[in-house]
This record gives sequence, C-alpha cells and structure tokens, in this order.
Amino acid sequence: MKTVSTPELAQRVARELNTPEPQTRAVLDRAVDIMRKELQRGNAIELPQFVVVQVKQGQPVATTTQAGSSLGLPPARVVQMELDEALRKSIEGSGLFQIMLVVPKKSFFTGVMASRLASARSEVTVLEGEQEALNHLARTKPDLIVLDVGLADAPRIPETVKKNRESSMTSTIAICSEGVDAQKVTDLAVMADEYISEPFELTDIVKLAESELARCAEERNYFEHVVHFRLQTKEQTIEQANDLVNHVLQSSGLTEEASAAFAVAFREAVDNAARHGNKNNESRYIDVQYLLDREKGTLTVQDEGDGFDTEIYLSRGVSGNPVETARERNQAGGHGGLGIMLMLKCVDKLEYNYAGNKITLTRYVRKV
Amino acid sequence: MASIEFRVKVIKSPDGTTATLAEVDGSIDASTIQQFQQVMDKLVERGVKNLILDCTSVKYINSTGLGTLLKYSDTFESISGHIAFCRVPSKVMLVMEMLGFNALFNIVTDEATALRSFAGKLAPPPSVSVRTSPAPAPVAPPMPSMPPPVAQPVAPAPVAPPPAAPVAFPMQHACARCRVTLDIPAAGRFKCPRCSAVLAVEPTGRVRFFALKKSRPITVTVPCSMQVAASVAELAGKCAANLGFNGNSAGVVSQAVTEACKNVIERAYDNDANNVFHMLIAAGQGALTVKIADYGKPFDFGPGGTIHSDSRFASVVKSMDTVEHRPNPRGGNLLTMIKVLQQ
Repeated sequence: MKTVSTPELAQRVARELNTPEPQTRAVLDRAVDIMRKELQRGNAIELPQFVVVQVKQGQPVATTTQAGSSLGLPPARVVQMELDEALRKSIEGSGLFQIMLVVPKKSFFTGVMASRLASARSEVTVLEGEQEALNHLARTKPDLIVLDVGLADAPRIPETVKKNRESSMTSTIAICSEGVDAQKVTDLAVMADEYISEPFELTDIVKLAESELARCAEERNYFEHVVHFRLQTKEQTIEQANDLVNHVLQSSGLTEEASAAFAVAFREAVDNAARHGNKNNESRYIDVQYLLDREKGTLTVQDEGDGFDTEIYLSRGVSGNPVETARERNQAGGHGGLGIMLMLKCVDKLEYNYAGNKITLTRYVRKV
Repeated sequence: MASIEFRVKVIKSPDGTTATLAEVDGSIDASTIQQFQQVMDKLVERGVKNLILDCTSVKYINSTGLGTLLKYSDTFESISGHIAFCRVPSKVMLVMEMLGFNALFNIVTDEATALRSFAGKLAPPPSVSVRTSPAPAPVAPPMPSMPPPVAQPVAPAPVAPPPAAPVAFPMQHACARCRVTLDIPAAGRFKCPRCSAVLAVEPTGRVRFFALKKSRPITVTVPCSMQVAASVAELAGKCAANLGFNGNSAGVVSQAVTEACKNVIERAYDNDANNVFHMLIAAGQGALTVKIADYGKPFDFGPGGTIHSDSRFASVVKSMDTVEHRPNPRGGNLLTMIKVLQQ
C-alpha cells in the first residue's frame, strides 16, 4: 500500500493544473492548516464526494452494577469521520474477495471449479486466455488469480501482476499438468505464489485459494512489493534479470541515485551467482526475491553452487583498499576481487547465508 | 555471447598532439573482459601512447571491468603514455565513484579536453595517477566510516625542500602523511591513493602537501568492559576539552559516551566480555563527532521505534546535539553523536 504524502500530492496537482509546485504546495498546506484550526474550534469540515469530519458530543455510557444502573459521564468531544458513501462503495466493492480464474477455454469443468472457488466471502470471474486476462487486469485489481492448466507457463500474467507495485500483493496460483516441474523454467520467469499439480481434488484448490487469500491479506500489512523470479544461468537471462530489477526499483521510493546503486549491487550479486556459484552452467538456476516494505528494499540472490567462505571475503571487502586489491590481482595476471567491496558501498546491509550461496542486499528507503 | 565493439581512429589537435580515439560500444564486464583486453593489448603493442576511450556507448561497467581499466591506466603510465575517458555515462561514473576510481582516472568531457590534458595544457584533475609502491605503511583496521579529510590549499603542512635542479619525471616521493612511496608521473596535483593526502608537484620537482581542515580521527577497538569504555569516554571528553569545550561540557560529552557504550555492552552484546566494538573520535570544524560501531544485536528501541524515544538513550540524546542510529551494514548498530562547540 502506497502512502501519498502532501509533497507528492502537491506535485501531482501542480502537474495536472500546470501551476508552480511551490505555490501549489503552499496552498495545500494552508488549506490543511485552516481545516485543522476549524476542527479545533469545533466546526465540521465537509469535502464533497470525499469526507465529512465533525466534532460531536460523546454519548453517555450506561453501566449496570448490583446497586443498579447509572449513566456515566460521556466524553466531552468525539471526532467522527464519515467517508462519502459512494466513494466507500467504490473502494470496498462488494466487500468480497475477487478471484480471477484464467482458463484456456471455458468448459463445464471450469464452471464447476469457478462455482467451488466462489464462496460467501469471494466471487469469481472466469476469463478466457492470457490476453483477456491482461485486459481485465488493466481495469481491476483482483485478490487472487488462478491460472488453469495450459496457462501455468503463460509468463505474462504473473509478470504483469508482480512487476507492478500496486498489484504485486495479488496472489497467483498456477495449475500444472501432471509431471510438469514448475521450478524448471525456461530463461527467466516471474514465479506464481503457489503451484498445484494435476490431478487434484477441487477441495484442495479451494483450501489453497483460501489460505493464499489469508496469507496475502496478512502480508499486505508488512510488504509493499514482493517479486520472486527464477532464471537460467545464461548471459541474456541475466540481462533480463537486471532489467527487471531496474524496473521494480523505479517504484521503490528510493532516490534515483540509491536505486542505481542498489541495481549495481544486484548486478554484481547475480553475476557472482552465475560465474562463481553456478559456474555458468545453464542447467542451474538462480532465484531472486525482491521484498519492499515501508522501511527498506531487500534483494536476495541464491544460486545452486556450493557456496564459499564468506567471512574471509567479507572482511577483505570491509577492510581492503580497492585500488591495491585491483593492482594485486592485475599483477597476478587475473582480474576481479572488487565485487564485494562494490556491493558494500552500494547497499546499507549485505549478508550471506551460512553456506555462502545466498546473498541478501538491503537498502533503506527511510533511514531508521 | 555478449560482445564489445571498438571503433578506433587517430585524432590530432591544432597544436599537433595526436591520440588514438577508441569508441567503445557494449558493457565492460566479466562476459566481455577478454575481448576488451585483447583490443587494449593490441593498441599497446602497436605503440599507442595517447589513448582516449569514448565511453558514450558503454552500457555498463562492473567491478571486473573497473579493475581492468585500472590495469590499463597503470600500463599507459608505465610507458609514459596517457589514457583518458571521455563522455562517461552516469551509470558508469557511479560505479567508478563508488570505489573511488574516479580520483585515479583522467575523466574528461570530450576528446579535445583529453588532447589538451595530454599536451600538458590542462592540469590533470586532482588526485590522478599516483602509484603506491609497496611500503610498510600501517593499514588502518575497519572502523566506522568518516568522510575523508578535506584538503585546503592554505597553511602548507609538511613541505618538502625544493630540489636544486629540475628533476626528470617520473619521480618518486614519500607521502608526507602515510610515508608510502609515490610514483609521480608528471607535474600536477595528485592525491595519495592510500591516505588521500593532496599534493602539488611543480615542474622543478618541488612537492607540496596540503594541510587538512580536519585533524585525523582517533580510532579505538574497545573490549566489552565498562572500565575500558569509561577510559575511552574520558578520552573523548579530553578531545572535547582540547577542541575548546569548557570543563562542564567536556564532562557531559564523556558521560554521554559512557552511556552509549553501556547500551552497546549491555544491549547489543548482552555483557559478553569476549566481544569488541569500534569507536571513532573526530574533533574538528567546531564539533566533536563520536561514532560507535558494533556487530551485536540491533537495538530494540521499544514502542517509539527510534533512539530519541528510548529512555535508555535519554541522557545521550539530551547531552549531544545530534544523535543518530542506523543499522550496521555488517549487522549490529552504528551510533553517531555530535556535540557542536558554541562560539
């Protein structure tokens, strides 16, 4: 969930009305100040089609004891905020979880599955094919997407959903054909949150859908953007991974310079994973997890290699002199040796797992 | 297979200075480094002395590429040649700056400027091309980071006596600050790559080192003992007194540092005497800065969530003008406390 601050609001108003930003900001600040003072005086604020804020007399509280009933002194003043009813309805919708079931072709079975997924708490929209689903996604923000068999390898749907910060907390479940290993991706794939293989009982997918809806509802309290992607160890997929990370960092809230530095650190990490971890073996995969919360962005890169002695390299990275290190390497006829030093300069926190095949890079959006 | 392409031509300035201009197209990283080195080696073999790398189309450079650029920068220096980088994209510049290599490279706006710098009409940018020879200079242990000391061209500190006759370049000279031997290729202004001391070398061979605005900070590794911590805090108080704080204010600084150390020992390390933390005390520019870095547990500041709302840091926050906390990139905590000297 993104929070729109006054400076951003002023920026957008200024852009839309083509007015100078400082003046627009001053007008907004002044308006807020006046409203605050009016509320302090006990007056109501009414913003049509948006909200009514008013100060009311509190209601007396009745208490009953063995001695009898009595009315407690009410609070002197209570602030009430009422959102415009039409606006509330448009935000909350029907109040039901929205499930999008994407199938290659509508059939009797997809109808049965849709009716089983629909419940007292959720409603299901059935869509045919990847393109129709993408068109629908452009207009709405479902809570859960179920990709039927045959669409499990339709990469554009999870990619479209997860790349976008606003929709990334939508859960995706992909149904795979029997015997298909969803983890064996071709090139690079943005992963769904859950996979279920055929054959399965309808109750299984209903339970999975419910647990995913609950998980996502909980995780929305902590995370703003979550993307998991997996790539084969190939030069062109590594470039795709860098492009994807550059894309998601654009909406991270980091400054341009901080995003660029974070992307530099990621490039080093994924390059190390490919060269040193997976030894450029195309049959090995690299897993990347991007997490953004209100405080920080975290990128985790894991390879399928044996790891290395991270302590030694980290201590060299912290205490070493980049120029001397590079010259020593050059004199020895090799190259490299600066990767960890560069990453340490680019992020606020750098951690390896014990094995040394998973690196976590953290960059703070807001300093704590 | 990723590739890198070179378009090479010879250019000449109106005054007759010639150089080889190589337009580089592609990324300079692990996947292209072999190709890059092959072309560069060929240029050196052909006897190119002045090389300008036009980086307009360099999409990216990674740490491997950066190390290789340094290699060729050194190679050209060793053959009394020059290498310059022009039109460096911001993404590439960022990587150079992160490791401080921008201070070593001759980075110019365009080929005309590069030619002028080769001809000696343009002084090389400060802090270029000074090579350190292996020397037994002590290397500081990892400590909380501080901004590098800033040089000012006044009040020359240690000044080397001018030699009687002009000297031939390259020449060697010991760094006045860290004593490392510097290989100086030509007259100009340079920065010692080890300690960042700024020096000016005249054509006569006279070397001047510039004084620092800030004194060098004191760095201490402190065992998890309140007794030792109290002694170091007293040292911070004495530094404050030397800076001009009155006795009362210096005492307040000392107490605040003691309190901060107590928090580190008790909360980050659970009183485990086997641990150590690092402290940096810097006095200068009218303020005393104390930084403490530990690798223990991150502080839990309670409901307020900040150091300013934590009652156990209340006396520190009250005593110092600025108190900041941020997570240590290696795990643990980084505390920065600043007390400004009131004039």
